[in-house]
Order: sequence, then structure tokens, then C-alpha cells
Amino acid sequence: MSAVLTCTGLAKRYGERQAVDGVGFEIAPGEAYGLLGPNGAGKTTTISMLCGLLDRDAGDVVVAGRPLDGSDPGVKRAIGYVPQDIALYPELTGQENLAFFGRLYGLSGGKLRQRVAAGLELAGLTDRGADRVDGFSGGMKRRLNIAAGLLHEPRLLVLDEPTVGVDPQSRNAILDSVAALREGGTAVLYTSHYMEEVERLCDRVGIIDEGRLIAEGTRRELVDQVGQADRVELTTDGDAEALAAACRSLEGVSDAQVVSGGVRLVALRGRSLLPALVSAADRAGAPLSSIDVAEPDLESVFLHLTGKALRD
Amino acid sequence: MRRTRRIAVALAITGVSLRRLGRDRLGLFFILVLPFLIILLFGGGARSGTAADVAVGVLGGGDGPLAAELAAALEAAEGLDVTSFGELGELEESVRRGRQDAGLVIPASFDELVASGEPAEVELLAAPAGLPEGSQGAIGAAFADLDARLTTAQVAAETIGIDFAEALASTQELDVPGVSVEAVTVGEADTGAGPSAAGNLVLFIFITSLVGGSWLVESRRLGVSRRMLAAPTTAGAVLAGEALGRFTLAIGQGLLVIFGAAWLFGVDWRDPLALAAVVGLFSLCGTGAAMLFGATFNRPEQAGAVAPPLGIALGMLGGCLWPLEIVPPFMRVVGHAIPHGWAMDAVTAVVAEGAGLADVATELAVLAGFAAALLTVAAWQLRRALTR
Repeated sequence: MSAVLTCTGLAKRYGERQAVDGVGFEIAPGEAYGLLGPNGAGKTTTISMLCGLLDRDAGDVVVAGRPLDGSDPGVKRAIGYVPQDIALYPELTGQENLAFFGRLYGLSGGKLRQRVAAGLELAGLTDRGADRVDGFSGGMKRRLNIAAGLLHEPRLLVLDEPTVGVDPQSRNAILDSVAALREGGTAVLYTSHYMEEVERLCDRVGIIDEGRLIAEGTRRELVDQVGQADRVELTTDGDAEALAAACRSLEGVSDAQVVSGGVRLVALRGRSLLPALVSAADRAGAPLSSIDVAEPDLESVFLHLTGKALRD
Repeated sequence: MRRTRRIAVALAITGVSLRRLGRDRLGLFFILVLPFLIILLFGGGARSGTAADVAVGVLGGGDGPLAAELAAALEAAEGLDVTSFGELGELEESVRRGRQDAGLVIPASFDELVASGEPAEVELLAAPAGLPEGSQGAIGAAFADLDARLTTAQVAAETIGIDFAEALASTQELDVPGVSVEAVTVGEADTGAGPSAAGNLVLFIFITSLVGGSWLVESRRLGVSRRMLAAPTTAGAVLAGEALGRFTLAIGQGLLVIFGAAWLFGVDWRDPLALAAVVGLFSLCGTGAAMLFGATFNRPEQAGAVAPPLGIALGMLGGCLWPLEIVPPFMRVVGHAIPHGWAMDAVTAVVAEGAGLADVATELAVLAGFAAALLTVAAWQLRRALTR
């Protein structure tokens, strides 16, 4: 199936700073692609170029088979853009805001009314559509912000950090809505510096840092690519020093440190080592009271690739 | 088709700008109420500044019959409101503070001076802003009878060879048929609101435009402007929509002042075509300034705080609050370095002199130049602010 979005070699420089440097990826219909990186990594600049908001220094963007080069603004009809800011007029009602953005995308008459009603429903605001936006909660505004980007039923939905500053309940609602759109065949480009969201929602992930796409693939591919081991936490009421020494003697354990109330170790395929760890603890006279195995996550991948934490 | 789409987008943006205005109570007060409050206040001030009731403070004159005659003539003079003062300092203070429009200092030895045939100098005190229009004539008229008798006595003394004091005394018995001037009012009296309305027309078109510019800053800060650019349209259509919104606002403000002042204060705006041309071109200047303002500031609260005082300051420089004729020459040059000075020249000519399109062609051409320059720079700056 041909990609809804293809971008290659995107570059943008601000003075001496190379904000985006050779970024390229593809998104297929019904696929969610996560662009993961810390603040200032180049996510918003990349998105701005993909949506035609920012002139690019280099690179090509093709959306739904048509090049986005400024000569044909109609290409942008295939894109639904949801900015990081709540880009709504606070003194207008939810209905008025949606109607305004619908008109910008060429909707009018009965079709516009129908899509505004659908947008309010998607945002869970059908009964609040006639209320002014400045009276809404943060979560309601966020949901309406997303609905405004979906009015014209785009083939590609671009969401720039859509859950910043919302409560967990609204965040779940937003992620569920986006997942439903993806299931319906909409291609989704999702940027965030919240690793959990990207892991939960996205089929593939691109890790961006200092303007460059430093790794790309499914979550499993990324983890395997960097060869991260599991982190295992053992707690004991017995002798933690003896437990640590016993663990170090096991094959596959690369490190074992005494921490408060137990031992933390790093091991390849930590789950398969569990029986051996329990036996070693018994032999060391330090019976285990709990075991916690944490698989490597995108946070560890990012740490491994860049030497810094995602939220630095 | 594409052009139709762009026009539809521009109109949608214009419509939303006006809808937002309807929700802004402070903005509505500025646009709907404040101009008329100011016309009412300054228009009333203009009325009290006419020669109809000039407040004159009088000091001195002594106890002689001539001084008493002069005091009586001043009291009786039409249009003068006379108050006696005992101290020069008190009179000067009163004139300086505007409690009296003018002060007359009559020498204490007035009778002796006149009787001796020497010139008697009466000092007329005026505030730094000058005397009210026509006041000098009204005061001079009170002196006219005495002046005529002094001239007659002087002529008699010189031609017949009698004593001047004797000749002056005999003039009291003369009944000279003089020439009297009767004032007949033609048409309706000027309410005094015309100049104030003209100034407020120019002033408020610009202030309202700048306030509209501050809403543009808010659109940018909210990210709505960028979101508009993500739609399938051109940056030109977005800019045109924003500009049309501000222009509609400026024109609307102008029409409101024109019709409101005509209805409430009876202002006769004279030539509608010339007035429309001035208001249209000045509104375009306001639109350009608003767009530039909207592209320059980054915080709406900062822009909202700056817009009214900046508009008032430019209005002062441009002669909206007082005529440029009374300011020093270099301030007149400054007033014409901004569109206000030219707009005021044109509106004043239309309202006060009944000037037509051809009479204000120079002012219109200069305003068109200002509008073109402001709109060009603003469009460039705003496009840059939205896409960088």
C-alpha cells in the first residue's frame, strides 16, 4: 500500500543552529508513527515543514501522492494539523470555532453543520457546543483542538504533543480517539516526549535528537538494535551483600549492585534467569521477598543512543 | 475556482474577527461609547471657548467718571462676563489657570491720563493658549464709545483751540448718530462639536485599528494564525482576511463617528464623497498600522496596553486634539510625518470649508502613499512572523 506521507532529506537552519538535518520517513495508511525526542530536538520544526507552515531549506514532502511544494495549496487538504498550542479562539463557542476551521478547509452548508456536530461528538462536547471555549477545562480544550484538525476527514493526522498539560483521564480519552482513527485507516504522525504514549499508540517510532533522526523502527526493533538488557530488582530481608555476590556468579548477569533493601542487577533475558536467581538467593541465605523485571524501553534506548534522558 | 476559495477563506477570517469584536465588552466600549463621550466633552469645551460668553477679569481704573463709564460699558457689552479684581497677581493667576479667558489692567490714574490728553494704555492679559476666538473684538467694542469721544475731543481741542478736558466734557452732551452693526444669524448655530468630531473621527479610526492589531497578536500567540496557514489556502489569502477584518473595523468606526456625530450633535460633514475618500484612505493607513502592530508584538497584553496610548499620542501629534496651527512649526512638520496630520487637514477642509475631492487631492495622494507603504511593510513583516 502506498505511503500517505513520504518525506526525505528535510533540513532547516536558523542562523548558526541546524534545527533539522536530513530527516526522512514514511507513514502508511492506518499506521501511527511516533516522533520521539526531548524538547528542542526538532520535532515541531519537522512537523511545521510537513504541514507547509515553514519553508524548508532542503528535502521533499509528498502527501497522498502529491508534492507539497507551495505550488498547490490543495495538497494540504489531505493533512489534519493539531498544533501543540490550543489554537482556538477563547471568546468563541466550541461550535463557532469548529465552523470557522471547517470553512478554512472548504466546508459549507449542510456538510459543515454535519462535520461540526461530528467534531463535537468526537470531543465529547455535544452538549457544550454552544458554550464559550474560555469556560472549558484544559482537557475539553485539548479534545476540541484535536476535533478541529479532523473536521475535513484528513488522510494524514499530524499531532504535535497533543496531551501536554492534560489530566490522565483526558489523556486516555485522547489516545483512545487517535487509536480509533488509526484503526479506521487514517495515517497518524504523533510527536511527544512522553515515551509511554508513543509506546502505547505507535506502530513505528523515529527517535530524533539535535535535528537528526538517529533511530527508527518498531519498539522491538529499536530495543534489539541497541541490545539493551533487562533490569532486575531483588528485595530481601537477608544479607544483600551475599545475594549480590551470588548473582554476579551467574551467567548472563552483567552487573549487580546492593541498593536499599536488596540488589539491582542487569541481565540479558532477565525473565529466563528467574529460577537461577531464586536458587542463588537461597544458597546465599538471603531469601527473596520480591522480584521485579523491567524490560528495556524507549527511554533506555534513547539513553543508550544519546547519553541523555528523554526529558532532559 | 482557486480565487473563489481564497476569497471565501479571507471572508471567513474577516467574519471571525468581527465576531470576536462582538464578544469584547471593553473593545465595544472603546468603539461605540468613548468617541461620543469625548465629542460631548470637547465639543462642549469648544462652545464655551467662543466669543459668546468671554470671561474677562478687570483690574484698576480708579474712581474717576471715565473709568466708571468704561466699567459700565464693559458690564453692558454683549458676550462679556466681567469680574472685578483687586490685585494684579490674583488676576494673572486666574487667567493663567483658565478661570478667566482674559484680563484687563486699566491704569489707576486712567481719568487723569485721559484728561491730560496723554495716551492711556490698557493691558490685555491672555493665557499661553491665546485669547478665545472673537474675544478681542468684543472687548474692543466696549471701548468704542469712549474712544470715539476721545477722538472727537482731540479734534475739537486742536481745531478750535479749546482745552482738551473741556472738549471732552462737552462730548458727553453730544448725540452723534453713529453707525450701528446688527448681527443677524443665518442658518443654524454651530454647536461647536464639528471640530471635535473631525478630530475624533481621525483619532478613533486609528485607535480602533491598533486595538484590532492587538487581537492579531493574540491570534498569533494562540497559534490560530499558524493553523490557518495549515489549511489548503495561501499565506496571501490569510493576510488578506486579517487585513480585511481590520479595515472593516476601521471603516465601521469611522461610519459610527460620522453618523453618530451628525445625529447626536448636528455635525454637518458637508461633501460625502470627499469625506468618504479621506476616511477610506485613512482606514487603510490604520489597517496597515494594525497589521504591523500585530506582527511586531509577541504578547497580546503588552500590545493591548500600548495600543490606546500610542493611538492618542499619534492623535495629539497629528492635530486630532488641537489644531496644528497653534503648535510650533517643527511640531507641524512632525504632525505631517504621520498620516494623522494629512487626514486632519483634509477632514477639517471638508467640514469647515466645504472642500470637495479636488480640493483635498494632495492630502488624499499622501494618505494613499502612507497606506501603500504601511500595508506593504506590514504584509511582509506578518508573513515573516507567521512562517519563520
